[in-house]
Amino acid sequence: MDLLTAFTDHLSLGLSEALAPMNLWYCFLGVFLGTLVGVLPGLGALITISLLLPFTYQLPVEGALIMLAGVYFGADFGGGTCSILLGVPGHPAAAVDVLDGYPMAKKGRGGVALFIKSVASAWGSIFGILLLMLFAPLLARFARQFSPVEYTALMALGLVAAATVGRGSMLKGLATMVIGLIIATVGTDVNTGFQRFTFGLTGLSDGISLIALAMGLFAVTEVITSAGQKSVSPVKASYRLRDQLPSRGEWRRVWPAMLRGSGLGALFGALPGTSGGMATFMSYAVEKKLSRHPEEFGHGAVEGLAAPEACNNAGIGTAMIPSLTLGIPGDAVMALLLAAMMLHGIQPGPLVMVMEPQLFWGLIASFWIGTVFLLILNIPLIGVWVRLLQIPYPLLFPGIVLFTCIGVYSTAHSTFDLYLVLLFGLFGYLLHLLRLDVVPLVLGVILGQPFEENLRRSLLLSDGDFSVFVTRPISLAAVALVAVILAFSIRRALRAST
Amino acid sequence: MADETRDLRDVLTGVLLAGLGLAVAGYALATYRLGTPAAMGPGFFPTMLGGVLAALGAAIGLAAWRRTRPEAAPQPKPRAMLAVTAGILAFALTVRALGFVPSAFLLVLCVGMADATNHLPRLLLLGAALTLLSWAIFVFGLGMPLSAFNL
Repeated sequence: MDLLTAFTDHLSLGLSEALAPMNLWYCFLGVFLGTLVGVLPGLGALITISLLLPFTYQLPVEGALIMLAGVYFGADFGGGTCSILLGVPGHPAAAVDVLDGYPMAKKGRGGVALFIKSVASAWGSIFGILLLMLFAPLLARFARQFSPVEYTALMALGLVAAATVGRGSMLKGLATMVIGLIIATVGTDVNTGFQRFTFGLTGLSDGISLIALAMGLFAVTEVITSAGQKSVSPVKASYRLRDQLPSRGEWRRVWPAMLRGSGLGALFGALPGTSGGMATFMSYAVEKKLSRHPEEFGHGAVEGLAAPEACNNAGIGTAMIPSLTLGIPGDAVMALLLAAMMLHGIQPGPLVMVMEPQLFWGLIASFWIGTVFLLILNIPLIGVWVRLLQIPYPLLFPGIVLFTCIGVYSTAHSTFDLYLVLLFGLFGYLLHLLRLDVVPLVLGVILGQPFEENLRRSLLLSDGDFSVFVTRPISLAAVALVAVILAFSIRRALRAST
Repeated sequence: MADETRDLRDVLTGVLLAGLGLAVAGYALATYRLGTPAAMGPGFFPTMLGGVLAALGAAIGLAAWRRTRPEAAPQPKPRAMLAVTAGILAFALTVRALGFVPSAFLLVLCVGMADATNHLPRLLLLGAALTLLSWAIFVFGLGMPLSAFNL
């Protein structure tokens, strides 16, 4: 099939859907709320999406997904603003912005730093989404021939990769991922109708409410961990448009860095589990190596800001290729977006593109529209957001808990879910104290049921013979990768202990 | 002292994880039918996961026991934990009996105590403002069926 005609067909279908007035409004609302929460230190896309999940019940499914995806991109933009002006990362992926963005702001060039960040992010998004539009149909066509065996192996790969690539110990990531899989087994077993781990509580027979889990683990835990910490005040800068424009010499350094960053990000984003933090630091290191002025890095080098930003956003785009076509999320935010799809009765996977083409392409086209909104919100209107940075955190967190409780209570008017939120909030805090990362846990919860389902079906088809996973090429490749990652993490754990 | 240099927090992590894994596997084995790989019963997957978790916990604990330099660990914050717990419990217990307005107000008062710099007059003001704001957004704006007072 002609790649270009397919591309233009999908683009026009998507744009016609995304430009519908209601969807434009949801897209704007999403990027607006995302930026709003993203600029506040410590609050990122995860909390915002968790908080909004219950309210998307009432929306049509397109609107809900477009809004939540907008929050994702918006929070990313806002997080960078927070990193640059406060020197405190708004979210993990924006940590690298602190290295050169904050020194620029301290030298009085905060406006320029914000401008470069916005342009680099927007370019990265546009590039990553372009690749997503080109390659998602190819992967989906391929994936429609997958049997449960391939799915089981690919899910195992997605889970293991996401659990081990994150921060901290690989073994700990694997352990929290397994806890997530165990939490997913709570409720009625689909195959046998058996109640598992419900302990006679009717509130658990449909499984653990994903909304309560996400709100507890992200919002409540975050409030407990950050309460009592000191607020930092932002660096002053001028935000008139004239003062934001980089000089001609800076432009010449920025645009090649943007191109390199987006290329690297696109490459890494497509691999499972590597989006976010790791790729951006790698892109930073590459720029430092290539630069003729490596001594400027860490003191406000424009390349060190532009390349990782472009890298991060390009990676978001390509990370969506496996997430949206296979239904295997690469990070926690994608997991929540897929969860929102499931709440609306759509099973994520290669069939979404065929059964719901308007939804699928409309969602993707809305990413581009959202990027345009974000440029408008973040370049001329940046001064408004900067003022938000001055809200002291002690006034903020009671509101987060209140909105969490209202959101959870409103979905089913059940106080049981409120107790679940509390339980997961405290559990998340315990994990934090034990230095365990919650992100792999959420991926485990989301993938638990489909993973068990596909594992059962694979072994049913092979009559209990486990060799079925190594006799089919795609599954063999995935299983081999899982083995390599596991061997590597065991070796690293052994070496760290001596 | 050798014990002082051990990473005791991670040893505890390993023990807790292994304990959780064993509990899950044991409970699943005792209560649910295991089945065979070709025809798995409801107990197969949980037993397997419990076993894997127990093994991971043991590995984490052992590695930490042999490690010499403990990593920096966050200190527990009982004040924040208590305040947030009290706030959510207060909301859950009163939202039906008293209605949304008193319940939301109580939540903000309790949760606000998590930060020592929040003094009472400020909290009262914040409680009133947030209650009014959330009432305006959720009940007036989004039309949620919550009653303001059930007194």
